[in-house]
Order: sequence, then C-alpha cells, then structure tokens
Amino acid sequence: MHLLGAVLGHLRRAILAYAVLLVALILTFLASYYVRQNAEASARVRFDDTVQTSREAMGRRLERYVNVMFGARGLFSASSAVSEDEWGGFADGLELERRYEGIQMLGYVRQEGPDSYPIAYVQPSNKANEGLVGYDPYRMAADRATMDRARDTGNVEVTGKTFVLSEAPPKSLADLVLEEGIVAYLPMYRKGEPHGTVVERRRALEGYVVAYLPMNRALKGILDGSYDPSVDVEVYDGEGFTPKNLLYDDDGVRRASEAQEAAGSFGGAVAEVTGLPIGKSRDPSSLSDSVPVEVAGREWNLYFEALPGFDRGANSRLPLFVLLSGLGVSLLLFGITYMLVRARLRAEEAGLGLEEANRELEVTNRELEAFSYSVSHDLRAPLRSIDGFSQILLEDYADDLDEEGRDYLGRVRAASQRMGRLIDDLLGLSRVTRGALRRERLNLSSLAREVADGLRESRPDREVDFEIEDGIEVDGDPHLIRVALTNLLGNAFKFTEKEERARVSFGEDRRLSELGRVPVYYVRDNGAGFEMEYADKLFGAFQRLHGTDEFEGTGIGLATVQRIVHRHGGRVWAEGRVGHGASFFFTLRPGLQFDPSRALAREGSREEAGAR
Amino acid sequence: MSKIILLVEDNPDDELLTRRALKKNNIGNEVVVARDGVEALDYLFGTGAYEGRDLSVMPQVILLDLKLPKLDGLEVLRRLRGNERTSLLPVVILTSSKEQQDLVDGYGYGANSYIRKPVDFAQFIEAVRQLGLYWLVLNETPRRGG
Repeated sequence: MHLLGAVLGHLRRAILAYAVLLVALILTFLASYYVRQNAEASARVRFDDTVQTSREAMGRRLERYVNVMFGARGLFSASSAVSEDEWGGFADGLELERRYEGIQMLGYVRQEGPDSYPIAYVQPSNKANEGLVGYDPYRMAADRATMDRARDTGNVEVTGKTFVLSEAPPKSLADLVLEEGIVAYLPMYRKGEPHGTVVERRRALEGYVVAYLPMNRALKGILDGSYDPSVDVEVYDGEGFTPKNLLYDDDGVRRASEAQEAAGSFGGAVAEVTGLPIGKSRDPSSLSDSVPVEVAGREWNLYFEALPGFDRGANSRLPLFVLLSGLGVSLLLFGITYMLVRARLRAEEAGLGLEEANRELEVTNRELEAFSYSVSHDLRAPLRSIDGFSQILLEDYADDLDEEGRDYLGRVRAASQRMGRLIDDLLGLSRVTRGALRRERLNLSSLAREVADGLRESRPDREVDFEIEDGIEVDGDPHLIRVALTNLLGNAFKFTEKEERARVSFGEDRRLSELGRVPVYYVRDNGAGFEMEYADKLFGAFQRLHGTDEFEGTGIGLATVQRIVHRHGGRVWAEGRVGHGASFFFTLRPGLQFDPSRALAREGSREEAGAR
Repeated sequence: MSKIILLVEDNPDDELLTRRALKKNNIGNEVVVARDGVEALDYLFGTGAYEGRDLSVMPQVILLDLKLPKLDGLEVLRRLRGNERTSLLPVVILTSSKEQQDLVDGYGYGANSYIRKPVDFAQFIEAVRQLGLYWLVLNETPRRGG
C-alpha cells in the first residue's frame, strides 16, 4: 500500500517525462511501421519485376528451342531428301552442342507405317542419342498423344514430365542417365500436299522433328540475366505442386509444395511422400507467387519465391534501424525530461526550504527586535538611576563629601553615561544589520555636507576645515549611508581635535577608482592617525587604538561602517601613520579589482620609504 | 487652580527623578502618579480606585511611560484618544526606548511629543524644563464646550 502510494506519487510528479516517453514511443512505432510497410512494398515491386523478367526469360529460352525445330523442318522443306550427313551438317551449323545445351537430342522421326514412327536421325551424335535411332516413341502413350496433337495442330507440342536419356556427367559411374525433361514434337508434312485442315494434315504427315529437352539444362540459368538471384523458381507441369510434375527447380529445394502445405491445401502427406529436402525455416511473410503459362499446348505453373537473402536489400534494415534509433531517442528524451522535471521539483523543494528558512529568519529577527527593545529600555533604566542619584548626591550632599568622594561620584556618573552610549551604539550596530537594504540614488556630497554641518554645530568652539568634493552620486540606502558618513566624518572630526589647523576631506580617489574599476571614496584627516600594524583591527567592534582619556568613543563606529559597506557589497579599508592623519577608503559596489589589504601594505611601505 | 500633571510610571526611581527634575525647574504642579496603565485609565475615567472622582478636573499634561505593567503605554494612549473626554489631553511620551517603531507608533496614536529619558540626569532635567515650559506655561488646552 505504501509502495503503491510511492509509485503513484512518483508518476504524478514525473507525469511530463512519462508522457514524453509515451508520445516518443508511439511516434517511433508509427515511423517504424510505415518504413516497414514501405520496405515491404518496394520489395514486392522488386519481386514482381523479377517474376516478370523470369517469365519473359523463360519464354525466350523456349522460343529458341522451338526455333531450332522449325529450322530443322525448314531443312527438310528445302531439300527433296535429307541424308544423315546433311542432318549432321545442319546440327553442326547450328553449333547445337555449344549453343543449345538445353537440347539433349534433336532428331528426325520418319513415318514408316500407320502406327510406326521410329527415330531416323539424331544429333548431336553421342552414345545416349545413338541408341535412340530406330526407337519408336509412338508406341509410348504419352508420346503418342503429343505426336497426334502436334500432327493435328501443325505446331510444336510437348509432352508432360518424362525422362530423357542423356550421357552421364564426367566422373559418374554409369554411362547413361535419365534426366527429368520433356519431349517436343513438330510435325512435318509432305511437300506439295495441302495441310490447312486437320484432315489434310493427317493425310500429309510425313514425320516429326523431335527435341529432347532435359529441363535442368533447358531452363538452367533463366534467372541469371535478371538482377536478383535471391529468388527461387520452380516449374511444374500442369496444376498441383507435386514432385511428380516438377519440371525444374532452380535451387533444388522444393518450396511450392511446402508453401501449399503451410497454406493447408495439400497437407503434410506430400512432403512425407516426396522426401525431398525441405526449407528449414519459413517466414510466412516472405514473398511468393505462382503464375500459369501456356507452353506448346500444355499448361505450366511457375512458382517464384523470394529467398531469405532477397529482402536484405539496401533498405531492409531500415525499419529496425528506425525502431532502434527511435527507441534510443525516446529514452534520451525521457531521460532529459525526467532530469528537468526532477531539477524543477528539487528547485521547488529547495524553494520551500528557503521559504521555511526565511520564515525562521523573520521569527529570529522579530525575537532580536524584541531583545533589542528590552535592552534599550530596561538596561538603561538602572543606569538612569545610578546617574540620577549620583547627581542628586553631588548636588544635595556636596558639603558632606570631601573632594575625593565627589571625584568618585563623578566617575560613577561618567561610567554610567558611557555605558548608556555603549548601549545606544550597540543597538545602532545591530540595527544596521537588520531590515531590508533600500537602494536609491543619493548625492553623497550633499549628505557629507549635512553631516559636516551637524558636526560643526555640535562643537562651535572648534575650527575644522571641511573639503567636500561636489557631485558624487551613488546608489545606496539613504539611512545607512548617512550613518556610515556620520561615523567616518565624526571620527575624522574627533581625531583632529588636537590639531591646530584641522582638515577633513571627502571625495573620490580617481587613481584607485581606475585601478579597482569601481568608484573608491575616501575620508581623510590630518589628525592623530594610527599605526598601520593595527589597520585590520580598526573595524572590529570595541576595538580602540586610543585610550578613552585621549579620545572618547565606544569603538563601535567603524564596525558599524564596515557592516554598512559590506551590506552594499563594498569594501572598506584604512591607511594612516601616527601623527600624520588617517585615510578611510570605501566602495559601495561589488567588484573591486584589487585586494585592499595588499594595496594597503604597498602604500604603507611606500610611505615608510618616503618618510625616511 | 493648580494644574495637575499625571505621571504614568512604574519605576519608583524614575518617578523620584522625574519629580526632582520638575522641582529643579520650579514646576510646582500637583503630580498624580499612576503605577500602571490600568491605574492611569481609572484615574482619567473615574473608575476602579478612582470611582467617583471629580471628572471635571483633568490633568494639564500626561507624562506617559511606554513600558508599563498590565496595559502598556501605547494601549493607554489609544484608549485615551478613543474617548471624547480625554481625546484632546496633551500626552508626552517619556521613555527610555529609542526604537524608531515606538516613535512612529507613539505619534501615530496621537502623542503630542516624545521625550527620551537620557541616562545623563543633567540632560533629563533640561528636557523636563523644556517640556514644562511648553505644556504647562505656553500651551493652552482647548476648553471643552460649556
């Protein structure tokens, strides 16, 4: 139940990724399907072309044999009597053996009597053929039917499947072999006698030109001319793809009957009976076709089948390629989308975490606020009492105290007042860190001038020369910047107290601005200065480089300045020499190109060198 | 007719110091002290311990501390300003707080001025002097009709 919930939650969050995967997979399968269809269609077209070409090639091949028979008949027509030598000369002229390999025997059958048609001449003359001389095919039923048919039609007629005697191939044990084949008969009629009708033809019959055609040789290589050898062709005499009437098989593996068996029309009996080799595997989607053709009065059936190699054409692997690359792309898309979704989810979670942290920070800030309020309010109340009652003692009981007692009371008052200031400054420091930074365009020059005026008013007895550069504008928080300037100028004012001609200047240091690529401002005085050794301690809270008796102060001012500058993304640093005044530099923007602490060391050594 | 000053202050030290500051500045007005916010309202509205008080006598000025037990100063101020009888009474907030928010709230609720009690007693005396001069001598509270 828990697991199911987790899985559902996962699916819900990553729904986009899964949707992308689903769409990509659907597109992939569609594309693959169409490419496959396309490939199959183009294979079909190629196959049909091959079938057509083969049919035509077979027609031409048979036509050649028929032409030879007609040529032989022509020889008899042209001459009154043809001798055996002349017959041999004719065959030689044709180069029968070489050019007509498919004709095992071309012979002349002479009518000797009403039912006697012995073979008179044979060519080429060899052992197999010579034995046929005197043999009367008319005595064989199959031959007789064909001969009668030829006599009546006056055309070439062929027998069904029969056996043809031929010489054994080299290295064979037997001398002669019987090959599967057909026998073709062309009738010859006596010269001068009409043979326009069946009756006339029967009367005028003189003999036959006979050709023995072993099919394996006669049709051998009819597909060689066509462009695809990966097609098997089988030729059957008459209907039915049985071994009994198989005339020719291109590759020696009978496929037609097997196809029929697969189709269920003949059943397994045929294959069992034949015992012929059967194709090992059969792809039911493979291409096959059977075409009936009319050959010299008989119907043949041509069976074509694409061999496994056929569709390994240029684009046969395309569907698989499309499928695999599509799957790859789908997974890739899914992966990318999933990562994007996850990144977004994480960002959202992080955002939630951030919000939580922000809320906590707000709570903390409010608590801090309350704490500061308490400190400011409650810590000061007892101080007021201490100071107030010390004052009352001094006023009302001055006579009862000696000089020392009054001095002690004065110290009590000074200490309590100092603590009051410390509390105020600490609160100020913490206030600087809290709250949002509000940036706006400020005129630093006029702000500095206002602060300077305030300082002058606070000590009308002092004469301080303020030099303030005009037209300095910055982006910053007006309240915080005022606090920072008040502290910096106030310090300068304070530490020049003992100078005869006190000078305080404020402006932008062009040289450092150029060096740092960020405007660098300075507050400089010719006051007490400080030891560079302690420069880094200046900005720590409660760090003072002078005794309280020398210059008053809480040591919080510069810490406050530093916080304000840092909140603006800027830097603050100082240079000084004891008795030669101090310079405070600050930026109000991030991106200062040099390290102030190093620059400071350089300045220090330079000034030392100058002082020597 | 003596002009009464209502001092709302819980700290006896501060009360004493305030009284002394007033005395030092020769402000001899009668000072009524309320120790907390509730007592201050009781006095002003004649309720609780001040049941049956003559309400025609109202303080010339109220010195109001912000941090008070029970009811804080700002709440007292809010209720004062919400009541017709006391809405126009001058109220001076006297507090140790320097928080900006207190100042804003104080004026927002209708305080007439805001004096921060300094640690330095001399400064406090000076502040009270100016306060007395303004609110007790110079300022004339508008008379209620009739």
